Amino acid sequence: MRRLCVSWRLRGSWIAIGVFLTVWAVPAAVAQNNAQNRDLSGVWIKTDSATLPWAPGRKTIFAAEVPLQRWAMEHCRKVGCGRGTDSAGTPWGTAYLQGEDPVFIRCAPQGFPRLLLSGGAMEIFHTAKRVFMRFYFGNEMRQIWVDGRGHPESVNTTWHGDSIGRWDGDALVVDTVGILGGEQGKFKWLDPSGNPHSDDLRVVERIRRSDPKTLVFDVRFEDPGAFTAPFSGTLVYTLNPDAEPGRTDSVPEYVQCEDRIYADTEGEAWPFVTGDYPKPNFPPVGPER
Amino acid sequence: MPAAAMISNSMRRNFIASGFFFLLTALVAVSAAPRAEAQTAAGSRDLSGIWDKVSVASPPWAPGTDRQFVSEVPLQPWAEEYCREVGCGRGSNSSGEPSGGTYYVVKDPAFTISRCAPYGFPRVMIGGGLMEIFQNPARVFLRFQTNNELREIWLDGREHPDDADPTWMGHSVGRWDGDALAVDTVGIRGGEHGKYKWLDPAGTPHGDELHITERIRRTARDALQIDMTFEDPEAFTAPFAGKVVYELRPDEEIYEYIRCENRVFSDDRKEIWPLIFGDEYPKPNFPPAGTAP
Repeated sequence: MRRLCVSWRLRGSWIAIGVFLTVWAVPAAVAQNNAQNRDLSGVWIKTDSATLPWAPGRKTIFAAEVPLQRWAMEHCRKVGCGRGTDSAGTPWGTAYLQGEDPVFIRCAPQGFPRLLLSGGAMEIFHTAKRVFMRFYFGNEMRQIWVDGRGHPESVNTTWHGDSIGRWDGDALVVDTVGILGGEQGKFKWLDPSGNPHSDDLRVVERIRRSDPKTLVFDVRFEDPGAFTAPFSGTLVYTLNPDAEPGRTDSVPEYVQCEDRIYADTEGEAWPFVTGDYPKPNFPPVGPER
Repeated sequence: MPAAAMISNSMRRNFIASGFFFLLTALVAVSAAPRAEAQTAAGSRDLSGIWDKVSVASPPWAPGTDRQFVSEVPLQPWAEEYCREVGCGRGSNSSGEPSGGTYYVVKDPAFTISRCAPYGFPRVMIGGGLMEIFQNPARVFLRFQTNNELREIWLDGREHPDDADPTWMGHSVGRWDGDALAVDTVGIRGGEHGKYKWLDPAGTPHGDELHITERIRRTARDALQIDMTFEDPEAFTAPFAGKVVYELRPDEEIYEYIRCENRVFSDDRKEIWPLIFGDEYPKPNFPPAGTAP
């Protein structure tokens, strides 16, 4: 073959290039490619609607199949989990009694995983050892350790839990435990529908950038304190379409319950304690749980 | 016949030549990257770590005490009047020692028995505790233990937005000047004459026009020095400068800290909103320290 008829002088160069490519350039290129796939950064907006979990016809993770234990079912019956509507009567997927929502009445943080499920913008940025998710709502921030550490031996429960992640190909697999339970739905909900959870909640996420503008979360929920069985679902986020190309995008400042900071009367500041919080005057939708 | 075999010798030589060129370029690129990283790792432009505030040095902080921002802050008349009302920097602890805080603590907008307002910038930097710095090429983040408040400083060459609403943290842009990060911050919300936001724990108010410059520098591996200038024609009669020093605390960690979490868990009206019972809230029973500003 003519291809082999290269002089020895040149052949030496080919060998040098070959060695370079094998030893240096190719692995570097592969690593770079992985690094690109492993870049989750950007501002993401949830497109798949877990905010309408109970609405009929919707195929979402929080459809009526959340396998609630008896106490959790009772809580859901009381607050009308997912049976809320907007003023036009359109199913909204929230709880019917929004006056029972700790985020509204107590100014509680949403915490994890509700933040992830309820939508709104979320920003992801990386540092060497961590992946951060900063949510627009309340500027709540999660940190996921990706430096190989395990969960601490005894985890104090927090609103966002203790999250550790590892890369599996181009997917970030995140394990979260130590999530504050909120005393049977009183202080914290799993989702905007009103489902409660306990301190035993464990959430496993597989987060993958399926294409440059799409982020897919496969999520598994397990909570022997609130659910009769584990269940899972998928969330889809889309890259903020308003992001300026070539410039790092971020979420704006959002101070939760800021209006209460400025309030001078109890009615303005804390309608819940005065009992003035209006109950919805439209009927709950969907089947009672 | 494979396509490669169709290529003439001269073309092949060109390929080889361009191959070498590529190789050279790649080598330069590959060897330059670790050098740049090594420079960062050497400490000069790496501010990351957990830091604890060790001192707020004068001026204008009063000498001999840990009072902050007391007598020499050149206040406009309305700000002076406000400071007289709340006792800026005249607070003391229960044993009567000057604490540098305000005398009338219930007036502190950030206090849990008051409005539960965020500290915001610059108070969180002057009057906070632990601070964690982490950075990536586009930004330096400062995360504070207090309320887990987060500041971001843009390093990507952007400018301040033209017409942004003021925020608690303001808008910060930075650039490296040698081993110092020079930061410029505007767009800080003023808090209506001290009602909702203070400049510092002493109780000094500021306006929406506050402009702060910082020079953040790692003076040693374990020491971070922040030289600041403050300018606010609405609240101050002249610009003034100050310095905050932090120390590395590698064994510390920033924990989750929810602003006024006690209110979230409370069912007691007085606990949730003590402000409206302000008259019943006990005033400090120890005398104000220092002299009135």
